[in-house]
Amino acid sequence: MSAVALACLQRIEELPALRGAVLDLLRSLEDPQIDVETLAAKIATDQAMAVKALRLANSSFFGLARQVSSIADATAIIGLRSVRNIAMVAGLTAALDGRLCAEFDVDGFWRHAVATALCAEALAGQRHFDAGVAFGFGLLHDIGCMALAMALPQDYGRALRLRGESDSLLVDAEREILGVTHAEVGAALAERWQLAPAMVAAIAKHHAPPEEDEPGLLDVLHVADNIAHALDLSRQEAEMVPPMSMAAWRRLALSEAELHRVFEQTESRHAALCHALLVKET
Amino acid sequence: MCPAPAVPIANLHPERSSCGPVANPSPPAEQRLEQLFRYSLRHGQINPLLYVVLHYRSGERPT
Repeated sequence: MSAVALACLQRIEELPALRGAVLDLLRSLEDPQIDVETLAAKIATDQAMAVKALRLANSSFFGLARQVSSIADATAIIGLRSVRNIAMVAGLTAALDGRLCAEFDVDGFWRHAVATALCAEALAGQRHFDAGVAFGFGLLHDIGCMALAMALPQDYGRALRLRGESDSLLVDAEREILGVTHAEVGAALAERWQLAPAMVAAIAKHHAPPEEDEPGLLDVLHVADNIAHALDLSRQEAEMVPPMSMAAWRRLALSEAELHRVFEQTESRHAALCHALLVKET
Repeated sequence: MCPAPAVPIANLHPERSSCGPVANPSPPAEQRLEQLFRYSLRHGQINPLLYVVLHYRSGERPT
């Protein structure tokens, strides 16, 4: 690894630690024995997370007939998984959204993350994988971009400018300027936060899923990321669909009808979820 | 790095897609898709999603 890459990862290590409640939520993503009451209580103690969870519960995304006023009610009605995912975004935003470089479009970042999460959830449903885990993978897959924009604002700004000027793939511009990609940095950060190995692998491999005999959640995430770019939901002028792994595409073996259903599910829910997260839609 | 020009969607060969030809995508939708898929179009890589999204944006639904 180059000196620049090592220095880059060292700076990532210096990023502020996540607050306890956010870490608990992230680490609970794949825990089937999750203590619902304890986690709901933790969310309630974190104002930023609690406000966003309640906003989501009361949003058109769920279309409830009555207003929800407590985290316990929100958890009971929309499910801990939904509350947890939204609280995660609030916690991560609070931890990383500090001194981002000017070139980094944070709203576009979250619009893409939400689109990928919704799409991964829908794809997972088509193939009977855990849709909640897929949603979490989608939400966090590009977290390395946000970490780089905060830890190395000047260098990452150069990488983003190079990407725009050369109209190249983001990972190519990152390698050129930094010697590492957002996938590597995101995985390193996820390891530092002691997230589940499956999450670390998902972040690391989302542009290049490993060769396997059977389809898996890494294939789901890779194809969902491609679809989110192709549906143009980030609303970024320079949006570009990255190369698709044909092996992952074939393993999932999705029919056109299934894909259209995934597109419809993703698009129909995107605006409401972005609105609930206070992410600008346009 | 100087980006190579992208191949227009109209010059591609729909039979390479498993989804078949596209009837009538609106010009703005087609132009935006050419822009979104410019990496694959420049490098001669057929991303199967291109045709599926083209059909979807054209309002064509699989039977």
